[in-house]
Amino acid sequence: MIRVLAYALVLAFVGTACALAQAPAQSVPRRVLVLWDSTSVSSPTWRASFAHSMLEMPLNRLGYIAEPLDVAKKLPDPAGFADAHAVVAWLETDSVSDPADILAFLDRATQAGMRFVLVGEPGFLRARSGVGGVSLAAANAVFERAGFRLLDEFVRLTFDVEAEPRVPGLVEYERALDPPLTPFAVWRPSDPATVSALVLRRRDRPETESHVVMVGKQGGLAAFGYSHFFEPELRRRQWRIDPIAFLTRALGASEAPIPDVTTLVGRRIYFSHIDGDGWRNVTEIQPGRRLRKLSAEVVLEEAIAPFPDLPVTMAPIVADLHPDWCGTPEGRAIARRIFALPQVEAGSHTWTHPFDWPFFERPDAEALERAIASRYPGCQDNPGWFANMVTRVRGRLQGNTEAKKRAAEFDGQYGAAGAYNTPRAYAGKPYALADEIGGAAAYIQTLLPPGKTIGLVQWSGNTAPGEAALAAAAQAGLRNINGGDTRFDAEFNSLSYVAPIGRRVGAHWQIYAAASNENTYTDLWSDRFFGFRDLVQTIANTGAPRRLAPVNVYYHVYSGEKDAALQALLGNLAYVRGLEVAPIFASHYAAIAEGFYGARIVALGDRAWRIEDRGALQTVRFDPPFDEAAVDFARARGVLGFRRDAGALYVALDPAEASPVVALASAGAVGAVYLIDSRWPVRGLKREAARFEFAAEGFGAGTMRWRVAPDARYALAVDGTEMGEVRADAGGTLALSLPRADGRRVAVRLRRVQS
Amino acid sequence: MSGLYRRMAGQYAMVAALAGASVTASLLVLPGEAERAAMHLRDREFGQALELFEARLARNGPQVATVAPLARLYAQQGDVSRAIAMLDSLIASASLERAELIDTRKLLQVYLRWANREAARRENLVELVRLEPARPAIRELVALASFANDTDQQIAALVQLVTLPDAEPDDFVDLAELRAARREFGEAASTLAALAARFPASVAPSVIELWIGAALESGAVSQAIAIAQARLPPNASSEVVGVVASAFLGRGRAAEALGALAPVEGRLGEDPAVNMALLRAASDAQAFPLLARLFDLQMARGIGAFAPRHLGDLVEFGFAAGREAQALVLAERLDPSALGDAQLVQLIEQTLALRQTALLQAIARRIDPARLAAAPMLAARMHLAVGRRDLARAAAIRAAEAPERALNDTLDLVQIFASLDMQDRALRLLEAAARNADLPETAIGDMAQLYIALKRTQDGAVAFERLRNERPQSLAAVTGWALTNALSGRANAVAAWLDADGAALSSQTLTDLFFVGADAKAPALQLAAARRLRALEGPTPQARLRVAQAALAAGRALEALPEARVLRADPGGDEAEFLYREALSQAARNDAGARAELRLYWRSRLADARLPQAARDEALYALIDQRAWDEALPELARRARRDPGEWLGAYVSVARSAGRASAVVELLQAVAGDSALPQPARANAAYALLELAPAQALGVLRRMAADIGGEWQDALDLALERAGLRDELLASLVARAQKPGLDEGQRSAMAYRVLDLGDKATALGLYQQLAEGQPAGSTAAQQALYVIGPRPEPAQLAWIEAQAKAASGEARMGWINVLRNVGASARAAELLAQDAAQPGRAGGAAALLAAEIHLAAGERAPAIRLIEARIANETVPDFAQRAGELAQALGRNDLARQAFDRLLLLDPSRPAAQRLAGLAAYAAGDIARARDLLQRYLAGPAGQAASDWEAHYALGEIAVRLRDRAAARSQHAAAVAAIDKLQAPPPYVQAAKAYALFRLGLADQSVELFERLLRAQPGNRDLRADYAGVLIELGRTAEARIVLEDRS
Repeated sequence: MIRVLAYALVLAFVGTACALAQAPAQSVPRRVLVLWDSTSVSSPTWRASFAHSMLEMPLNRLGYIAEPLDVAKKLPDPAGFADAHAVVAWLETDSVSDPADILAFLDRATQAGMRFVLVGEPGFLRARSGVGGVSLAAANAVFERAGFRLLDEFVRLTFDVEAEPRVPGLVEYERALDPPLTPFAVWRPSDPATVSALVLRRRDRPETESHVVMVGKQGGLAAFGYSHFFEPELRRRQWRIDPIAFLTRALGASEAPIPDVTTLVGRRIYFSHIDGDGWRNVTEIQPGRRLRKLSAEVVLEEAIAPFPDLPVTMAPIVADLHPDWCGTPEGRAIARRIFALPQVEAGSHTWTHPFDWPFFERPDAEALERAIASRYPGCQDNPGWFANMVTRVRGRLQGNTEAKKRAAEFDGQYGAAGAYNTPRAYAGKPYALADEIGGAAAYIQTLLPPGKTIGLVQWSGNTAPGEAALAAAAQAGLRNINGGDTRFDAEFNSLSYVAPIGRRVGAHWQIYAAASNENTYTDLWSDRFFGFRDLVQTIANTGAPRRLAPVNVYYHVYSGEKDAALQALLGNLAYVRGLEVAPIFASHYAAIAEGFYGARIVALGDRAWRIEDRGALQTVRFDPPFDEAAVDFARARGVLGFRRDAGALYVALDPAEASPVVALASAGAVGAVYLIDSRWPVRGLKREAARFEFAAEGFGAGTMRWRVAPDARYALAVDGTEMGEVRADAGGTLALSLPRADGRRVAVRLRRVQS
Repeated sequence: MSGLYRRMAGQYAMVAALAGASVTASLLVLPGEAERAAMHLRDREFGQALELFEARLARNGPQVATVAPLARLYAQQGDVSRAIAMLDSLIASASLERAELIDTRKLLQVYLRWANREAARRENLVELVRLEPARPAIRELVALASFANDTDQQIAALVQLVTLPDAEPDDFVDLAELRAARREFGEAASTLAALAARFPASVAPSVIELWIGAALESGAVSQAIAIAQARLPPNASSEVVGVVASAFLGRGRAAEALGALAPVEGRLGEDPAVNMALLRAASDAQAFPLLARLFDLQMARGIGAFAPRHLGDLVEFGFAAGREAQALVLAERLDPSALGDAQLVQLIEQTLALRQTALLQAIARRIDPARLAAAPMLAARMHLAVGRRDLARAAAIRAAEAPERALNDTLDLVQIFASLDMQDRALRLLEAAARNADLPETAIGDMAQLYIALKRTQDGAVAFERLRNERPQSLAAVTGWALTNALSGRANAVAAWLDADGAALSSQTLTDLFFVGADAKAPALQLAAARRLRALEGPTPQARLRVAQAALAAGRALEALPEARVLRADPGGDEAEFLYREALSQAARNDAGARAELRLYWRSRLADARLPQAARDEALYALIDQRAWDEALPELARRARRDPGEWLGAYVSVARSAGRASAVVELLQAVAGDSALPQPARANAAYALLELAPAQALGVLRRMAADIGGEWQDALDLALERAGLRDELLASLVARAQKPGLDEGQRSAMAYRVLDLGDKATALGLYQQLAEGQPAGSTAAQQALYVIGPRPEPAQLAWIEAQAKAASGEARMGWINVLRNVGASARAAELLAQDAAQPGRAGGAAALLAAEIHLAAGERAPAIRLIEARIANETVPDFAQRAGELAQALGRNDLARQAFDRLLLLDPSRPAAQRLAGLAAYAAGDIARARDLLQRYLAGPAGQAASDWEAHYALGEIAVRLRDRAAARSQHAAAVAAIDKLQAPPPYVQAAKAYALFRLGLADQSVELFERLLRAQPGNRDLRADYAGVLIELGRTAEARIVLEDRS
């Protein structure tokens, strides 16, 4: 077959696609360098920083990849980031260790043409030591390239300050200005083209006029106190600016296609995954409680088996199953039953369920853990519990002064002061990263039916794996997911709680779940067990007016323990069933998310782009005002179709094409047969004069819509079996509903029938 | 019940027997409805609890004891609204005591948070605060109000908060800031006065500034001065001096500022902040004598390390105080970028007036031109004076944009723009000037060039239209009109004028117009200019060339062709050849004669062997473009036959376009069948044939598949599929899969193809053949099992079973596991049962696995039989131990004991063996053996056994039986010590401890522990019985009865 394709290419010796492929090409820069400060008191880690937790999602939304640079360390030469589009600084501090180094970096970066966006204070002007700050003039040389400048003026008293919002929607987005206003430095535009969105001034004191939110030709500013609101006692926050609109203008709107992880074949992605916590818990729900049913069995019977149309990834903890740990034949039997279902994919929730991943990167982790070994629970239902007892007893025997000191040290950091009583859930033997990742996957593989392969690790505990853990996952051939904890509901009513796609950890990417799980809805599984039903609010709010995330139903096996939790979960699944989605496995989503970070957009000119190295990502998006176009199929290659939805134009790419070309024409009649949307992922589309064919695979009924000639009739064949005739409506929409399937790939052929 | 708990059950039974009272007696004491409801709630029997509480509610009406748990039940089930409604109605009933009301509102607060009802949550919190004013609750209310942007409520809560004894300084400051923001300045000042009275040390500089500001805004000027003076002793910090000055000056109260700062006037020169505060106050108050005195004083003390901004202020004060010379000296040191706008303008004007060129240069070098936005002429002059052309340009532009300007300024600006090479600006100003005066002809010509150079030809066309009308005799005006119009999109008008008018334009102008026409793609203009030039210059080659090019561009090929023919003959050359060919090609579109001439032209070039290959290729393509099939196809066919790798594709494409399908097939068959050609070329031909005519490809492909095989076989398979010969394809695949000499991968691939073609049964057969005799984990077996799927049919089950039967050792176990995994546990167990008879390790493993399967299926009898059969002859210690554990799980302690005895026989030194056999003997009442084994176990080398409370406890009980009080005391004491070392011993272990304490004579401690345990687990009947037993032993029978009747 490969030879045939090769020959087809030979025949196309004067093809348009070849002409596009040979056109002068230039990669669209997608990287944004983000300066943050690990010595900031409020955010000592990248994960906790506002730059990551609040700003990276809007950057991702615009197609940018955040490259974190810690200003507490010597900054690299910006020339090393040739593909960087901009620098964003959000330091959360008013002074730094080496202002000159940061300013030199910004100077070189902006001189090289990178845009500059400042959020919060310009903390890099002052040295923390008090010695070695930079001059205002030197800083203004950088600021002015972005379109604004800072004066040596500060307004402390704000009670007589009047505010003038000038760009409605860009400011006072989620939060109106409220008294007392935050004291402010005096910022001014330095370029007539700079647009001031919010101006403050003391009454009758024009010299105090400060433009605290601005977007210029080469950057933007959202000054401290005016980017977002934070209530310290409730620990709740809201945006004052619309971060996406702000960044769109500050970074410059581009027509280039944006890699999109929310959508597949024209529909919002749906996936679901389950962490195995609570596998061995006996359910409280009757009649299961009287029958001593495990929560895992309840989840199987209530939330998985009745939903063959909703794929799900189940990730047990090995220590809950393994006979040498706490596993029982009953528990393993349930696992086998779950994995035998076609709609279930296998994942791993590690071997011993680390709670605190950074803890195990400490050189003294083993000694510290040994000191508190007696805290680990035994597994009394199983002979294997003896192994745990050995550890516990050993911990007691070694309860000498040194061990007590270590235990106190542990508590100081993780017990009373921290979140965890132990750094992992089980400790039958010393921690070994290889066991947690590759070892756990290998064991779970033994529980799978022939033909199924485990492909995903679901991070446990604080979901903060280090670089070694991510490398181990990659080495074991596993995708990864979890973390992020996206919520956007009545309790967390802000875009600021929508997480980015993932987190850079050294050379790797941790892929975040697209929504939080029931743990955060139930006060950390302590109360309010019905709370997970609010997930539907997050699904709705992240779906419109902008589609910010896929639909993700993410929960734990312990949802099968309590009736209120189970009802909430079932309510969510019923809600999801009513949505127009493209259901896939969680590992598939993780692969799509990885594709976001790898994709290169090569501009070919004349509104055409080649998409390279995109992995499993199959959708690119055009935001307003560029969403009015249509795909020019005469010049495009490897494009299945397109759809205007959720305020944007989504273009579906064909997974069979390694380097598709997306070319746009102004909206209007297109002519070619193309896909509008589908529940099942589609690949390998072949269009011929009077027929088209493709492969598809998915769960539930294979509903899909194609654009063909008005009233056209087609003979439909699935896997070679004739299924009868289908007919397009007067608008040229051909609606298909392929028979329900269990994820196996089918070949679909439609042959035009003449009237 | 957990395994350990089961093991302890025997001991509970023993304890219960000691009690001498029947446990059933306690069951006769039934709890009341309220207690039952509470028990259901505690035991998470929510449904039953709900029924009982609802019944109580219906019967007794809303009472806290009923409504609160009922609300909790509703909330637990997710019906939070109902829970809230119940609590609301309970509160509304006004029947609650204060404490009950507080508790109810606190519970309501939780549910309002759960329901995200923020407004109601705040309202309820207001009520709670009213009932129980406490700082945490009020701070929460302040935070909620802040988040809800409800300033009124924030203020109300803070007002309440600052009256509390535990109010903190921040509470006052928050309140004052909010009040000030609402312009309630008097209240804000009062709040801060209260802060100062209560927390004098917390009046920070920022608070002072707010306080003075609020007092001034409320009109209490004297109060503000009093506040300042109270906070401004002579040694006040510079920060306080700064904020006091700022508070007054920021509100235009310079005179009052001077008064307020009087206490620190003597400190001038000590601190820049103090200096600036005093000088600024004097300056703002226009107290010039004072300002001059302060300035002189400052200069006398030196300026020290003044910040640039302060230096600028000082310069400003110097000028204001009439100390220009000193101010200029200071100005040389300052950074102009740090100056305010007014300061900067003042400085430049002063410097220009005093002609301080060096200082001017310094200022110009360091100042951002945008800073001088308000004085652009000044800036332009300054920058020109120092040679800063860019900056002068920017300033001049701003000056030119002024709405009104004197004529002199206009002329000045023309001069500035001219010297700055800004012709457009100069032009615009000049145009304006031209309306007021006559312009010379040369200026008009220059104007035309300016318009063209500036690409402002639209404007030029308008201006020259006017000039042409005003000066009809002016050649400069006509020339300017023609050029600017031609360049501004009116080329056709100029062309028409050229064709119709005989104006004597120069050859140069006509040449310019010719090229303007070419560049603007205005062929009419180009042609008109070319014709005029030909008429002017005669039929020179150059003139012919222009006419030919222009005529071609205008689509007048027949006009171009005669000129091109002449040029091709003389002087000839590539350009003439090209021109001729283009003229001919264009003419051929509408003219049959030209078409024939063109076809002849290309044919002759194709045949001309002297031409390079590229030229002949071009001729071939041109003939194809002309659809001259008879000329092009023979050449293409020759090339395709000779060099199919290069030309076959082109031939196929062109011949198909020409409708020569049969010729294509013939050629493809010839190429594919030509063994002299390279393999890739033949393959391309074969695949093309397969695409275009699969049925006609079969013959060639069959031969090649038979002769060569490999990819030709694949191609044949594809052809068969495309030709719809599925049966032949299937037969071929099945036959080939049976052929000897193939490896497993090849056979598997064929099976996969069969599967892909939809013949699952045949594919499975092939897979099963491959898997015969292989382990279950082998690739072949996995593929077969995959096709079979998770629920095999009977025949497939039989096949799996047959594999298991045929296999031995680990492979057999693997197939048995497959059986088990696909739900055929019975078959698996049957096979295992057969294996279980084998001696040694293999038999043992099989027996134990079989027993485990039976146990999982709830089939106790066969599991027991298997274990029984093994125990007596078991030789593997681990198996013996596992058999014992399985026996325990099956509730067969007798068998377990046998197994553990066997374990002890096989591995007498194993601590676990001694322990398990010892505990089993104890459970069976064989106390002598139990004592022997457990003592050996505890004395063993394992060490950790010393902390085994269970072993100590059993030995203690054995010693009691043997009336060895000392030993009993020792063992029970050891058991208690071991239990005390456990981090969180479960209840049954604590019960054992309580009993051991009783044995140790520590009755009070024992009873206390039992009481505590019973409170925690009132429904634990075993515990109740143990406790009652102890009480009876102690002679406290009345208490025992209470315990047993569940009245404790």
